[in-house]
Amino acid sequence: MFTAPAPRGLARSQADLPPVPLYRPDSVAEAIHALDTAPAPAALYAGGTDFFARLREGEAPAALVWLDRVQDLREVGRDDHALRLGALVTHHEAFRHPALDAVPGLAAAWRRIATVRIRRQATLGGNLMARRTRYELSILLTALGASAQMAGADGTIDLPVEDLWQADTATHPLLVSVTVPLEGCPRLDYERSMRPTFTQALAMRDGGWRLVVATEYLRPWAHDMAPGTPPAEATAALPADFADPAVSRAHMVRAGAAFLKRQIERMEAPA
Amino acid sequence: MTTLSENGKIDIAFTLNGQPVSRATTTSRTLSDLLRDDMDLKGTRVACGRTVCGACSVLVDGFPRAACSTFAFEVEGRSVTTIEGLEAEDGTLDPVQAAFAKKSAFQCGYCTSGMILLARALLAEHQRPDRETIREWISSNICRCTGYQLIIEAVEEAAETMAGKEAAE
Amino acid sequence: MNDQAPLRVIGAEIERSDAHVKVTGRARYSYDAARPGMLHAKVLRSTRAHAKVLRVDASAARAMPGVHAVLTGVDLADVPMPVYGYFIKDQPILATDRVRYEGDMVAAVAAETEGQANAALARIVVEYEDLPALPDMEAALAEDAPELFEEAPIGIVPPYGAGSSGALRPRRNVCYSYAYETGDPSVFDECDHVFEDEFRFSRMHHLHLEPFVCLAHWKEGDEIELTTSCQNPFPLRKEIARIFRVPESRIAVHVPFVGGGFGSKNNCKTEPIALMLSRRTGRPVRFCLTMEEGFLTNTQHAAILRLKTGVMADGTLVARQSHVLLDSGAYSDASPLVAEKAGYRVAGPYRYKHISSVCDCVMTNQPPAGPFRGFGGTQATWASDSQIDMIARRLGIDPMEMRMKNLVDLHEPWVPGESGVDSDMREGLDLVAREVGYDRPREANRGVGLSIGFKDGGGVNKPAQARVKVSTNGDVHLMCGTVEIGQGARTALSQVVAEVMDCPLARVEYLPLDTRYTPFDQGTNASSGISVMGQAVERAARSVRQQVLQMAAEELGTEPDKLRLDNWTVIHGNESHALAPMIMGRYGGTGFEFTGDGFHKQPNDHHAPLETKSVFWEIGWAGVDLSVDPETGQVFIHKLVVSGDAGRAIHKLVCRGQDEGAALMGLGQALYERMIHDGTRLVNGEALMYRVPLAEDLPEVFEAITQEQGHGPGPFGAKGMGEGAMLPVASAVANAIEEAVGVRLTELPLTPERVLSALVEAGKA
Ligand SMILES: Cc1cc2nc3c(=O)[nH]c(=O)nc-3n(C[C@H](O)[C@H](O)[C@H](O)COP(=O)(O)OP(=O)(O)OC[C@H]3O[C@@H](n4cnc5c(N)ncnc54)[C@H](O)[C@@H]3O)c2cc1C
Ligand code: FES
Ligand code: FES
Repeated sequence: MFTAPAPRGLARSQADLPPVPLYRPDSVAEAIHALDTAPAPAALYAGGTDFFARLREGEAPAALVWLDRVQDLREVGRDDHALRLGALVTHHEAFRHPALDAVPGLAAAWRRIATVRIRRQATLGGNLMARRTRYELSILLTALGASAQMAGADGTIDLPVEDLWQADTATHPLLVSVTVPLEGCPRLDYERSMRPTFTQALAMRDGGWRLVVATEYLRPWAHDMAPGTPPAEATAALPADFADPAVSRAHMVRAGAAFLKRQIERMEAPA
Repeated sequence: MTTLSENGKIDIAFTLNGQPVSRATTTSRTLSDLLRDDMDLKGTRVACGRTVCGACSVLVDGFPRAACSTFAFEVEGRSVTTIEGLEAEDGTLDPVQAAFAKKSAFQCGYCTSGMILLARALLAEHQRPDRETIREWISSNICRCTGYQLIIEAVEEAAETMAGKEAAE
Repeated sequence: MNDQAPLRVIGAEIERSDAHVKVTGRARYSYDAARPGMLHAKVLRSTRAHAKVLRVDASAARAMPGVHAVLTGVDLADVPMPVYGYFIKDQPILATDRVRYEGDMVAAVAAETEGQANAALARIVVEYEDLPALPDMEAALAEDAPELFEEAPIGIVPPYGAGSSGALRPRRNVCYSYAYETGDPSVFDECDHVFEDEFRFSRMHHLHLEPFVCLAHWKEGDEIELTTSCQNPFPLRKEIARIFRVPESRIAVHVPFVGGGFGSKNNCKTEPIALMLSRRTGRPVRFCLTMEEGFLTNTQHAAILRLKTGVMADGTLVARQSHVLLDSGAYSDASPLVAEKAGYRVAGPYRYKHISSVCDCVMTNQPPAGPFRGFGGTQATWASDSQIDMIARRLGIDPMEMRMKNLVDLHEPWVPGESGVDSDMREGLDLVAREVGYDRPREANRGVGLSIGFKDGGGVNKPAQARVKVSTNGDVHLMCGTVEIGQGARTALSQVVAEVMDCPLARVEYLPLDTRYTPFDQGTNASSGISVMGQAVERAARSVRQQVLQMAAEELGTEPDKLRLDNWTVIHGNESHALAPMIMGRYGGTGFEFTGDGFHKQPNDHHAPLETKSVFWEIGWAGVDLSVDPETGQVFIHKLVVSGDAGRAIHKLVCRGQDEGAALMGLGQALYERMIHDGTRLVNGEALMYRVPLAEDLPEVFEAITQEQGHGPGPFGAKGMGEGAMLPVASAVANAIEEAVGVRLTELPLTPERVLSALVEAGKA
């Protein structure tokens, strides 16, 4: 459902942030420790491409925890079961990483996110944890059934990426990594040409397809379907309130079905 | 873990336009404020203030970053180039600057510092970029005046000049 | 075509005179202005769309650290006339008893830092009582809508000429109405067909990169010093003098380079609050809005346009009636002027026996709308030239042929009492049609659309003055009030002087703008830089040149017309004489300064509908070649060709840049760029969510062709540029879509959703 942003009485900016304590942890444990001991509320700082917008929206951290030295957050790796991406990986590093070959289509989709300047700086962790509907990694990773590893003082928990939207980050504030399960040989196709209205990801793996539709203003909607489901049937399942001031549900049902048909064709075409 | 600052004060040292500099500042100081207000380098323009338009771009270790949305402490130990650092000592313009001037690849000029630095980084990575690559890179920043076409042509022109120079050397 | 004699500086391939300072970062903008002891202003904005302000408690704010002054509505009591606006003075410096949109300014603070100012503002408590909000024009015009202004604000209707009239508050929530009529309405009876169509126009924000910003200093003895990012410093000075009741002679407005405006930076924006705070504190006050606040400060006008056009079966246009509604937002700003233009221009570049149009400014609870590149012409062209295409297709006539048949001829007065059109519009249309491949066969779902944008140019009743001084050694000083906002005015006007003075361009210095010393100008708008100011500058330069030649002739014992200038030497036959020694010989060793003044104003003329004949006609031609994906509604632009007629291109790349910039803005408007609202709430009021065209949005092929037809009134045949190419883009795209897939869209932007819905409705998807 669409909810309008709250009206703002003040034009906040970077100038509103007073000098605050600054910590630079070297490990996940140190980062958690810093969050626990710093004056509250402490903010995690990664690439910073979203952080300053948050200040302008009124966020007022009392301390900064700068993640750039936490090497554990930069790891990318895969084994037979999963692809694991550290939270500090930038878009630029991610789409060029050979490990992404584990999921055909993922690198190509990721490559189109943001701009050349932003990609080198913007991280996976920030993209997900900013929890903004306009950001796309949640769409791709939800389609792929990925999980997020969230660290807290009492250890790490696993959450489906789609649950990050409403996750209470008080006990487990730090996203360490995202894991994409490789069972069933997942493949991805991402239709992004309708931006700035809506986008659509389709993941196929043995035994099941997953369609994700999202708009600039609406959280991703995920729909599991049996292989061979007619496209129009799939998009007709969009919730009744799935619409925003820039695009109607009816359009997404209609155009989405056309895209879905093409996505299926693309993905089923012999390589 | 390093506690970089307990009280919000912080000393930083970095290379600015080829010269080592150090400053006592605060943890909340942005790079654009540091450059513009503390060092009087006003060629770095600020517009959207939220990483989007790129008018405030400076090169950090050779790659553009929005100075409005970079903390001063982040450039510790790194090399920062602003528009003021592009000219040679004798005032000779950098080939990208010269091409922007020649092609009139600006109007109000407010995006120009950022665009020129963006183009510098592009040409450092791709000596002879094709149009598609130039378009993709230039899409990082907003220019509300020109319609981009002359900017793209200026980048092509600069690439040619630079390639010519290299061939001559 | 360009069969004009070549000139030395005009049209030469030279760098813009601001090139060096802009590519090296040395250019200075108001944003950069700073003074020792300067304070920073910030404002508290209304979070309600429409409410009574019951109470504002600012006591806690006054005690906050770093705070020097706090202003709320009650403080306006100190100000002689605390409201502003162009024709209608309805916008209070701060809201007093009512707020009228989300973003209305309620309180202001000056503090040592912006952070402190915001911290103080956060302590202000405002109690509101909500009133019914009017998010759009339908709501505002409804029978039971509340009146947004219970009492009539002070306003004026300017003098109009034949057929034009204006009215203040003709009906509920309409602050101004402009009407124009010519010819006999009974000709509708002769028409074979009468078509009625309605069009909707969405609203953009200017998104100028340099924010609204000023540095104000109210000094002792009521002397005002103001540096501001502003397009019209002289009218601003007048407005400030009126608001604060200070003599204009005590107000210095400085305008350095302006980082883009596109119309938004006219009249009071940040200045009155900054001045009030400076007067309170005795300190210079900088007031810089964030880009997010920019969205709440000035916007384009959304519009509903209803056209009724009568036509003969062979496509001859006969009569057009129109009713235009402009969403003016909460305060009138420049709405009456925009209404005048939209109402006047909506007939388009065609010949009619009868035209009648009404344009109403409708007040709503939205941010105030104001001037925007094209000034009502964009709205007008969208409707006007879409409908021409629709009519042609309905009659089975080729739309280009229909245009050719009805276009006003070169030199023919556009309407009775007007000046003659100074471009051959058929020539331009032909050119664009050829370039875009209008006659080429096309594959399925592919279409080519043409359109012509048309506006009167150079502003109404716009005086401009200029002064050119030359000192002993030949240094040329150009003083005029045209603001360099990117359009290249400094370069072009300096070129005019250099051409007249026969000196290198580098010799001409464009002096900084200071309203105390710079000759008067009405403002940098209406593409008037070359067409109006250019004439004043040319006259000033010619006057100086004449004085110099006169002096030299006297010294050499000959006649001025036997002499010519060449870079500060006088050529007499095959002798040449350096001027500096001659001048010192005559006026003494300290030298002398020649001063020439120039003035231009289109003469008043009561036969002209807008009281003066249009200075020139700004015409933009566009051709679009596109494909539509009938399954998704997506539109792919293969080629966009635009063209403007510069009359004579003073600087070719500047002309090209103006057209390309304008056309891309038009393309954004056509396809996606808009302010998106949920009721009265703006939902995309910041740079990331508000999508402006990026380089990646350029069409596959994008061409801007500068015509030089040579009929302009400006120096050396020049005309104005800068708005024309924006006007016809949206209609050209809609026209091409109809050609491609046979559906007609009448509402902007032309989103895939609208295309697809239309296809579904037509049974074509
Ligand atoms: C011009 C521009 C264009 C863009 N275009 C796109 C686009 O096309 N598609 C798209 O998807 N995105 C786009 N983005 C968004 C961009 O990808 C995100 O801003 C970026 O990924 C955020 O990462 P960051 O490291 O910069 O986050 P930061 O700004 O450092 O942080 C953002 C938020 O995440 C939190 N955070 C960061 N890391 C962690 C962590 N490890 N654990 C917990 N919380 C954390 C921070 O505390 C903060 O609240 C664009 C951004 C810009 C400025
Ligand atoms: S001003 Fe820094 S990115 Fe726009
Ligand atoms: S030149 Fe004005 S924004 Fe680029």
